[in-house]
Amino acid sequence: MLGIDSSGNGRAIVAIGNPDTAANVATFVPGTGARLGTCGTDIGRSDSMVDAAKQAGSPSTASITWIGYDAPQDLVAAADEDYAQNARQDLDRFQDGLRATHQGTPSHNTVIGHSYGSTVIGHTARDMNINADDVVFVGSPGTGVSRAEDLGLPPENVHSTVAKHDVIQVTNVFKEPFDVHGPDPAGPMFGGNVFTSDPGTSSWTGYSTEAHSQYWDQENKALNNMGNIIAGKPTT
Amino acid sequence: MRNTITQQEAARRVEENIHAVVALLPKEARLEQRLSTPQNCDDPTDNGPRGRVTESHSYQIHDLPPADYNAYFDTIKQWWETHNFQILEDSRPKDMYLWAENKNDSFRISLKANDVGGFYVISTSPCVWPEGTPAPQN
Repeated sequence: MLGIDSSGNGRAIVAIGNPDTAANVATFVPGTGARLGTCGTDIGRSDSMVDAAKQAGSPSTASITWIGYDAPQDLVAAADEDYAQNARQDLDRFQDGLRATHQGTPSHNTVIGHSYGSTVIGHTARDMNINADDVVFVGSPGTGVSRAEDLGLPPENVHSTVAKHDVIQVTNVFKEPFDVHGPDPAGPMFGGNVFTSDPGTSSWTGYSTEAHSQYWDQENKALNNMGNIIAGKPTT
Repeated sequence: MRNTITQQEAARRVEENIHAVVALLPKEARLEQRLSTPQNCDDPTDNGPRGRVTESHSYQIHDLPPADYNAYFDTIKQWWETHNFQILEDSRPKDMYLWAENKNDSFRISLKANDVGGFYVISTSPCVWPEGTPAPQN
């Protein structure tokens, strides 16, 4: 447990593995609904990513579940970019802190955001020059930029995925300026690396909320690929 | 919402699937448990029924020669195909990854090997209610 705050919706920062010594360190930023009371699910996702990275060949891995910001608690609130703007400084400082405390050879650091968590990472990278080697956007409503190159990282280190049936795709139907958080980073014009996810559960509309949360299911190609990225390996 | 098997039964079947694989390997194979925690099948923004879990267990298999992994994959694939499993994916030769699903109960199982000699078996249950019956919805 790296940090906990029970005020408001509550914040928690919980590490699996030792970020000070691991060769590969991931920070996982969950999205809408994230709070102290629900962090169990997110910690489970971190655990799965550590396992996936080991399976991909990572010699040692740590993953930190970072609910270090006040996340929007519903989809209406998630249309507001203020939550991302208010989180930038804390996430940026946290990444700097990981570098400062790491022992020996610098670790390979990856920051992974799900849903609104990807928006937080995008704003932080765009405005604060985030201290990470790779960023990953999973089921993103937008990252605050139109192109991967605007995040201050080489485009090949900007990785995105969205499941075929993920309902989050509805948020990117409209174009700017009506697309509140910017285009889907897994879209064709964004640049960066798009990696494969399983299509997820479908419905009569072609989209489902289940598909928005299935990326960490065991054997989902998304989880395998997140493990690859954390381990510094190519994606499929 | 339908009844399911219980979480305890799901965990038992997951372990049964893993040990069926290990029984096909040389006796010196040694298992190290990696992940064995139930995972929620819901999400804070999921509007589906809450309270379901999935049992997912992963093990690393030690003390076998990496040069023989491909042969082990062949043996296990053949066994699955003759024991009511459907092969979902065989990524060889590009990746050492083999994935199958039981046709009766939809339990899934996979084998993985990486370029640093790691060898893994992972088995996962479908989403189940912990007690087998749907939880009251608020």
